Amino acid sequence: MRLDEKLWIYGGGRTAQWDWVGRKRVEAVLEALRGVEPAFRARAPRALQRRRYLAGLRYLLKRGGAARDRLACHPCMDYWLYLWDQQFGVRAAERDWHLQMGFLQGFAASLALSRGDSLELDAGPDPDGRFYLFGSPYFLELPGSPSEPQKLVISRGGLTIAGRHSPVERLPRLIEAAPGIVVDDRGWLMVHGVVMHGLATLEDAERARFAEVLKAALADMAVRDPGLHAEMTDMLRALIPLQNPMNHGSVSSSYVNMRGTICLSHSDDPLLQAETLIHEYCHQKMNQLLVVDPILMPGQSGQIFYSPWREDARRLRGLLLGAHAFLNVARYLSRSLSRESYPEAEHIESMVNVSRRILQVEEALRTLVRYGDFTEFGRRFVLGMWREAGVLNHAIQWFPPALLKEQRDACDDHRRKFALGSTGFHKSKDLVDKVARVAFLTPKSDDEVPAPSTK
Amino acid sequence: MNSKECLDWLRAVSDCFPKLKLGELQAAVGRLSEAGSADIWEGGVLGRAGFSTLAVRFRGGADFGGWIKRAAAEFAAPDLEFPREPAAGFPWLSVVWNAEAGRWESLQFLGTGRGGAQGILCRRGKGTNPKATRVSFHSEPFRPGGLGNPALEKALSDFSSLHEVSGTTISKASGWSLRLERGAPFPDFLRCDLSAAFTAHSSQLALLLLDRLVTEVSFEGESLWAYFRA
Repeated sequence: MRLDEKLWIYGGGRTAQWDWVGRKRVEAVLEALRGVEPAFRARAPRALQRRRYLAGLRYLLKRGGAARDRLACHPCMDYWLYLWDQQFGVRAAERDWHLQMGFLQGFAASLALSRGDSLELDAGPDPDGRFYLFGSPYFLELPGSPSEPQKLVISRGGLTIAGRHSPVERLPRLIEAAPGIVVDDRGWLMVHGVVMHGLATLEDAERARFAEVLKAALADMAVRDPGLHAEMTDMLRALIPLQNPMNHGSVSSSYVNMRGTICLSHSDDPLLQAETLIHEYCHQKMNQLLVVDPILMPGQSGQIFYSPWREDARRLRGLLLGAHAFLNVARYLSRSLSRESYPEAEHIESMVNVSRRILQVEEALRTLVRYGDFTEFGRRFVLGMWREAGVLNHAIQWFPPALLKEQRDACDDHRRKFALGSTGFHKSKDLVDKVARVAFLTPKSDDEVPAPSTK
Repeated sequence: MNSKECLDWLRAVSDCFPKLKLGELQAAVGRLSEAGSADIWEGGVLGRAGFSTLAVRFRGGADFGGWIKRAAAEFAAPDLEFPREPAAGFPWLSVVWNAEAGRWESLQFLGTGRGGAQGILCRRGKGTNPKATRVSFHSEPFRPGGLGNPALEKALSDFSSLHEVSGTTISKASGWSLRLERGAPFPDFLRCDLSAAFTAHSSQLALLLLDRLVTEVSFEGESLWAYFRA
């Protein structure tokens, strides 16, 4: 399929291309899952072979349909496969095998419940005593340990474990910021891979408030950018609260091995939360797209480039993802400014944000086109981003000139500090530049520095 | 790269790092150049080591025999004993200069004969007396496969799709190298996975090497060299 770059630069909505790229992800996940049974038979300890762990796996693989495919795209499935690749290619402890295979049963049980199928599994709790029905907001609280799984029977829209039957609607559930997008600060498989920032463990009221602001942010987005909202709510499955100990505007992260999860700190400002969601979502969207088309030709991972957002060197890929995310953020804020009325301080802050982001995006794009080699789609994509940055420049012409100048000066100052002259290279701290240049409007040497004027 | 470009480059390195001992190398380059007996062809930088080890490649003039004697005298210790005097058929000289110690690490006279490329490699070992040995090379078309190292094969394959590789030269004594068909501007080379060994010094190298072309990437022992010219 020939990808239309316009649908990928900004939120293009749930188009045939969107579904096709998502399908590629599903195919990759199913292919990986097909390799689990032979590996399990070859390497899992004997005690596990007697368990009904493979029943869940086979059920997942056998059942087709949208619900199964949606589970295949769940961020916990991404992370499950990541753990599988990292930990279970070599010898692993029996307890870890139980834990890993137990997680897989959560996907199968959730699918069986959603389809109304009957299924028998062996299910054990995670180290926190929970058994998550991934893809749904529900979970079970189970006694025992991951190494002591119990028989779990799914039938008649409910679960029976240890002789007790529970209809699914009576199970404890996670809060949702939108249908299908849970707020989770505890799920073992959900938060285990969150390593970049500290996790926030919230009280019930705090969690509800966290979800409420995100719900408002998503509702605003549905009006201001329906295409972006449609994509985001299709891909996102979980929002994880982070600490913000330094009281930054926002702390956020997302992970390539958890596509569909966004981690962010709480704010009472829906616009700030929308900005953060868009930023992190764009990284996730690109991570999904890059599996289908790498945009940058392989072999260009040198971490040497000046980043307008940071003090350290980045790869071209980092600049690409940064430019894409901030372009989307700038457009959303620009749209919000033109549609809504904000208090003056917030209005100015948003204008500062938009103008700074546009300049930084242009800086990153300049380096990308100077140094990068692109695929055919990549060339269209990067040119398209340039065009969109140009369009946004038109949108800010009513901003105060002094504000625009201030932002340009700030960008220039950052470049002076961290870039090698006018190149796209990052300037390392230990750079020594004593290369003798031809004198031109400058003193010839340190000895000839003119004395300051006394006038 | 002609002698002026080579001396400009060495001067720029000296300007930035006055503690490096490049004077003798600069003088030798100047003398060879003034005598008209050699062209400066390429410079080389070693990954990871920063600027403490540099290379210069010379191409001999018409008077090979005289040039070789002069070059040996310039760079080799007077007590260097060749197993046999380098023949007039070795028109190339490659010098590796230890700029911290202010002395050459190795020099290699090279030429191409019927059996492929051959040469005399003189290496300074741990002791003071360098040893000279005969070396042979063979060249073949570039094929990234068959190295028995999938990660390296992938890196070479990706690299060759970004910068066309014209051929490979392999030597048991001194490693192997990739010759680039058109050369890669040094900034473009630095973005490549293959140049990871240069990352720590990338901005310094970029300042000193400007837009010069990387013409050859050479793996010698555990070290990666990039050879460049204007």
